[in-house]
Amino acid sequence: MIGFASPGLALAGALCVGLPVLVHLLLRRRRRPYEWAAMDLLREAIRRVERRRRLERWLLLAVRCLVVALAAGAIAGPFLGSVIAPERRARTLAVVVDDGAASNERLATGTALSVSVAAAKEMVEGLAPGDRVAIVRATRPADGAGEPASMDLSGAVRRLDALSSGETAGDLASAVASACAILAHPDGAGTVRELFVASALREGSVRAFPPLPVGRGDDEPVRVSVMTTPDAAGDNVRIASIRAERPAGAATDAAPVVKVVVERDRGDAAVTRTVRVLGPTLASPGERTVTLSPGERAREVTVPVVERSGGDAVRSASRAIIATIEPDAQPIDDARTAVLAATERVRAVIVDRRTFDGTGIDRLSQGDWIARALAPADPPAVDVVTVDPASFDARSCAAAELAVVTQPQLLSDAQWRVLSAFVERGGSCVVLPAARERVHAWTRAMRDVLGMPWQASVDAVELPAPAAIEAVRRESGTLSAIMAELPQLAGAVDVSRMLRLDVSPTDASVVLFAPGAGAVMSQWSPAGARGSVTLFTVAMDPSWTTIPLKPLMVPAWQEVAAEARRRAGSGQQATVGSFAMVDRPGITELRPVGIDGAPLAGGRAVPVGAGGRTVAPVDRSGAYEMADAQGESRGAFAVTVDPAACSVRPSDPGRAMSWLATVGTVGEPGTERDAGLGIASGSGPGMAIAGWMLAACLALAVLESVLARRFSHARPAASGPVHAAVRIAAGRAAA
Amino acid sequence: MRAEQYLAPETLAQLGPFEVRAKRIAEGVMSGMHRSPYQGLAVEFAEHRQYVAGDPVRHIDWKVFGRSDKLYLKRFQQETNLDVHLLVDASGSMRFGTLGLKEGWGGTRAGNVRWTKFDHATAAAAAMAFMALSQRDRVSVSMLGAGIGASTRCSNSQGHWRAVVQCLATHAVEGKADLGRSVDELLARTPHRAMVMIVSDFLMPVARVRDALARLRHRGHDVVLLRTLDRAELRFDLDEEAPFEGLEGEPTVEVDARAVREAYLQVLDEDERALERTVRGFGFDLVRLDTHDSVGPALAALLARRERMLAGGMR
Repeated sequence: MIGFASPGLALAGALCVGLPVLVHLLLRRRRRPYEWAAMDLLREAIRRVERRRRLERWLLLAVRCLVVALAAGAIAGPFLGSVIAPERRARTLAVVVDDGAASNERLATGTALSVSVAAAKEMVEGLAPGDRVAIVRATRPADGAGEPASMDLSGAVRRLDALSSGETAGDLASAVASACAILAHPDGAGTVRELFVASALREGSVRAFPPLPVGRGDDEPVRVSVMTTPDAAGDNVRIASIRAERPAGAATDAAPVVKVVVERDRGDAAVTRTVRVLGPTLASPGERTVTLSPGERAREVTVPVVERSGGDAVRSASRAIIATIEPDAQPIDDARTAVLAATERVRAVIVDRRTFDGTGIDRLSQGDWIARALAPADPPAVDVVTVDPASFDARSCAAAELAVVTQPQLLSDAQWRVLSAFVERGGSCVVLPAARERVHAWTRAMRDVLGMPWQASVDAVELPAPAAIEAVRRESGTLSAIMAELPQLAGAVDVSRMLRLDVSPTDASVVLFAPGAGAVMSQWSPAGARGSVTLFTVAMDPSWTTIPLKPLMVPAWQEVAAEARRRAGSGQQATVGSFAMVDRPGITELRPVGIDGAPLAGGRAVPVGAGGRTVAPVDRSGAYEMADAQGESRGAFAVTVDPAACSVRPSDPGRAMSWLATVGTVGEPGTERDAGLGIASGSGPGMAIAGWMLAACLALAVLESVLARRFSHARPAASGPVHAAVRIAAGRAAA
Repeated sequence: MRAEQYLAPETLAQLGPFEVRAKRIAEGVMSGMHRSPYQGLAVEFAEHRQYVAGDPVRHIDWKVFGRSDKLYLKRFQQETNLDVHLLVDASGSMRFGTLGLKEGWGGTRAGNVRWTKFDHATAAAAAMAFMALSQRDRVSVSMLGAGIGASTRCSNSQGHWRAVVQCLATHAVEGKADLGRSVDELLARTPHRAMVMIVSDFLMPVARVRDALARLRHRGHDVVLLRTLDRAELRFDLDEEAPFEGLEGEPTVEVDARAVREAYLQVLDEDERALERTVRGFGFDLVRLDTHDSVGPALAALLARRERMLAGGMR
């Protein structure tokens, strides 16, 4: 006995069988009559072919009706047998598959993705004909949003088989939200709605637990089940960052410095890794062994590298380098690419008003102190240009990496906006209060235009007694390179006057602070900007602080310049899964290249739009070559994975379950499938015959084409005027 | 109406070298170019016959009497003129035509943009009438319908050709044709043996044609059938399925042209063969005219064939 999962569709299909007849009748009404003289001959001819012709017509009509009926039947989900109990309710299953970066984790039975896919396929194959299924990928949760689930179960299995792990971050929260939207589609009304999460639930996929859509009160709750979480086996250590730079203030042909931060992601035992740094411009790979002691989270190592000498090295000075460690539980975070910036001097613009008070040490302006600290050597490694605040504009800082404002009270709103744009595209801006000003109303512009996250006082505060300066110990960031000497250098200076900033000295943004007085040097990046803003609450003037007079002055400002160089170089870097921004004009595409600098076989170039933004997210990490419209290489570009998205640290299962419980009732997948879905005991699903019906439909369609051609008695089109004339005669008859 | 509408110069040029000759003996009232059943005092010697009492003395061949001392009479073959009766089908089926009207091809009705079978038939009849009148044979034309609808007197007078064309041009083309009745009416008004040319599509049972021809044969007339058909009828080059309406009031029939074509051509071929067998059986001539071709070549071929046949018979 044949049944249909959607009897309504089957009924509609049965009605559609009349379509060929209807089409025939409609076409017949439109025919215009012919006038004809030899009617006796024609009638005799008709009499001779009438029997055969009638047979042909009925045969063709039957085949056409059968084609329509089979097509409609196949769509209606037919099955053979009456084994499905009448009380059984159809199921709508939404499967969320975690195919994000974390799913590359190596497990005992394969990768995390293969385990997830196997579990998902088991769920899908447990569905009966007529049930619906939707597959939602964690890397592309928006793909299935708004679409109803499909009854094509075999198609869902094929989609699962075709899944592969990428390097893009998985967004399990959005995927679950999309799955909930699919389950809420009206097509699934009246069915048992289930959500199955096929994920190892690592922190890389579930970093946050945002609120999920909650079903309506009158709806039957969604049955939620989660794949059995696989055991986490083995440690995972990753390369968290790689900095390839040339020290500021050094000679232009100085060897680059590569600093690699090795970070522990999973495990707590002591681990040893060998960091190798490779690159096309390096004479030989640099190596350094690093050991993380138990409990140690991260360690930065400096890997010595030597560049090849000669024209090649100079020409390819902006090539990418890659740092690798031995593969472990998560292989995709064991390598990281960075761009080795070209040997260029830092250009600094000091916005300061010149004074003509003389040249004695007690007559130096704040800008003069800073200029000397930035360029102490001769020839200088930092190009310093002093610009009067009245003439400061976008052109002034167009070619600069660092802008130092020592007279902020003289800047107009437009000039503040110029600074904001400068920071947005990767520049570093340092703002200091003017030494001779008492009221500092410009701090409002710092907050409004440059996005300073704190309040700063308008008046400078005279400290009752000079306060010593302390440095916040940090592994990376500004002044981290002189962290070893910083306590001694900072301890020698004090502050007697400063602006108050309502930020805690322990805040991550604070670099230098005076205990009991407040932050001296704070740093932040405005939202959406690649550059940074540094605020000194003291002026580089002896009336405010002794910094200009002490040894801290030069290394501190050299580090500020080095940070500016790093920020500028970060424009040639993006994260997998994001739209990369290229800050150089004229770039039309990013071409993947190997570590030797040669084009990567099978690599797919990513087009770059007119605004410097790629037209599609970059989906593969590694080194890229920036190419212009002529195909010429214009430098290197690094695409890195997001270390947090690769994390294979198990997330808190209790928290994950309670989070998923907000969308429905959480249970074990096996028990839900057997007990809760109303399948009668001893009964199995009917045999789906949609495929067979479709095949038969196609075969009949081919047969119909052959028969229609044969029965049409087609022959080469009549030539000459006769055919056309008879048509005209017909037209005359109609008139 | 202009005469050249029916008689194209090229048609005349193609018929120029020929004469309308009766295959059978014609009974004319005037001296002409056709053999007469009457022998007498005409100019052409026929034979000698022995004198019997009562024969006119003036026909005795005195030269033979002088040589042989026997009395012989000279007998002469009398030549007569030919009566040509043109019977043109004016039934509704002759209204069919698919050829666009060409300059100089004429047309019988105002506003007609198609060259119909009737137009082609009148062109052929006008050409034959012109040929006969030009050799001083007498011509009459009759319109074939349910009976003889309109006709002209049989004459070879000057200007009679214009009367013939006038009759052809003004007659309505409609209704059904009754060949038997029309032939009977023609026989009733034709006392002498003559040439009868029937111009029609002969879309009628062959048995009726046979009956009509038998009566004409019985009266000793020489008959020529000019079967006029349109090329669309001959080829049936249609590709659509459509209703077909008859021109003589037949009921509409649904026809899938592509499916029927083969059978139609077979039926047409059988009809043509049957008609040809019938016509040849009586010793008459049958010529098929295609409306898409000029009448000249077909008529010229007919006249040439008849001349060859008569020349062979004379020898």
